[in-house]
Amino acid sequence: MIRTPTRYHRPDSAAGVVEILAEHGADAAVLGGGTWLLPMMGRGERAHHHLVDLRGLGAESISRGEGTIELAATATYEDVLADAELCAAQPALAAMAAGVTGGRQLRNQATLVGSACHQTPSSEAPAMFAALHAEFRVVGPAGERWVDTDSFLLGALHTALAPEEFVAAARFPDTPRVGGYVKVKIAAGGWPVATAIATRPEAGGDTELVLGAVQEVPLRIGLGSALAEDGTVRAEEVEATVAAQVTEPWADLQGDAEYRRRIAGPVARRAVERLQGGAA
Amino acid sequence: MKRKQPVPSEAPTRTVEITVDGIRRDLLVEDRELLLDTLRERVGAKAPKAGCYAGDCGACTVELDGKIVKSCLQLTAAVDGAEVTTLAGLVDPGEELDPIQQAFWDNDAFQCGFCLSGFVFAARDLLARNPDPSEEEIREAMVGNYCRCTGYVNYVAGVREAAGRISPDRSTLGPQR
Repeated sequence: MIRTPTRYHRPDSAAGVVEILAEHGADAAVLGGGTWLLPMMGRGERAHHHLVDLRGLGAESISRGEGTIELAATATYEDVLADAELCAAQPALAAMAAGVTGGRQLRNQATLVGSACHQTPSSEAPAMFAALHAEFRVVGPAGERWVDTDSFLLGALHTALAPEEFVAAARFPDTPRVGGYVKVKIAAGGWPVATAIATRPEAGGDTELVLGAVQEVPLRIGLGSALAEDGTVRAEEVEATVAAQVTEPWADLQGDAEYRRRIAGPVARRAVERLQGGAA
Repeated sequence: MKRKQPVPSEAPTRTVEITVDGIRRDLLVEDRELLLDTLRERVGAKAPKAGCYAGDCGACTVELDGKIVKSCLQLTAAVDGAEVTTLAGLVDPGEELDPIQQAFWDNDAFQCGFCLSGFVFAARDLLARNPDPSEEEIREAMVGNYCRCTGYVNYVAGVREAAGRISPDRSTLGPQR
């Protein structure tokens, strides 16, 4: 049972959402899938007298614009997995969505944008948004603005959102990227201790490497000399390259800072090897 | 764990209509009420179990408008008009068990049964998509559910046996209501 006597709102327009958020400020919270927020309210870790459900907006879960893919704030992991074209174009995204903690039920309920808005360091979606070069459509009283992932994710449980703002969608370039995705969890029901996403434009270009769960926010690795002239990565150089860049490792009950710092390199190398082996 | 609390007079309420195991219900619920608590405390549907209230254990799993969900992660107010099937709604009392239930029984898949809602619904969901899953696929499909008695091995065996018993057109699966 949620401890705070809470009123449920389900506006049918973005303006309606903003109106409630503006009126109640931090006493209102946006409800995406609810898989983070509702248990926290049940445990009394968060208290809001108003919940604003975005499902009343009726947004199409996944839509295609000019050269972009847009995920509505209500798009679930299963919505992503049901889009065969998207999964084929972004295999690392598909691999992440298929393995998210909590099983099929969670994938039916939890949303990717909600995960980014909650911004738990050990969550998988924030780093994936970084790897996809996503930006978030932030809607507030002054209108809407697009905020790129690196500017949006500011720290543990900390984003660029103001209390009267919400994220309506995330979009990323509709550029097929071959990818390798690797994560380490201590138990199937636990949270990642490290994730690594290695991707490369299918049409050719430089490999990119993003790590999740090892620092407060996703870590973009500068590949430097590990990047070969043809855009591929010298896998044997990845571990040392990564180790030098994990400077402020995250620590939680799943793994301490030293453990995260030590495994980041091998996890990254494996993601590169998966990318180069052709398996996400 | 005792979860009932006195209802504060200021807690906002609303009326919702949900269909539970084929029976339509008009219910007065608090806005903050979780579907799990509505089912157990207002409808009297005790098949979904109150376990972790965090989305971890899967014991509260139900089918909501055709998708399996953890009912502790769902506000009742958000599912007005929905159809809910609980584990108890798969077959009527006295009828033959659902093939998955029977396979779990035959394989000693469970001991206390607290986790059954999660495992039965996850298995149904898997076999609806993939009638002949590998052991790896079965384990992957079961991953959102905790069993603290058996260690999962017999659940995996149960799903494999159920897959073999269910005809390809799935006409022998329990009624979908």
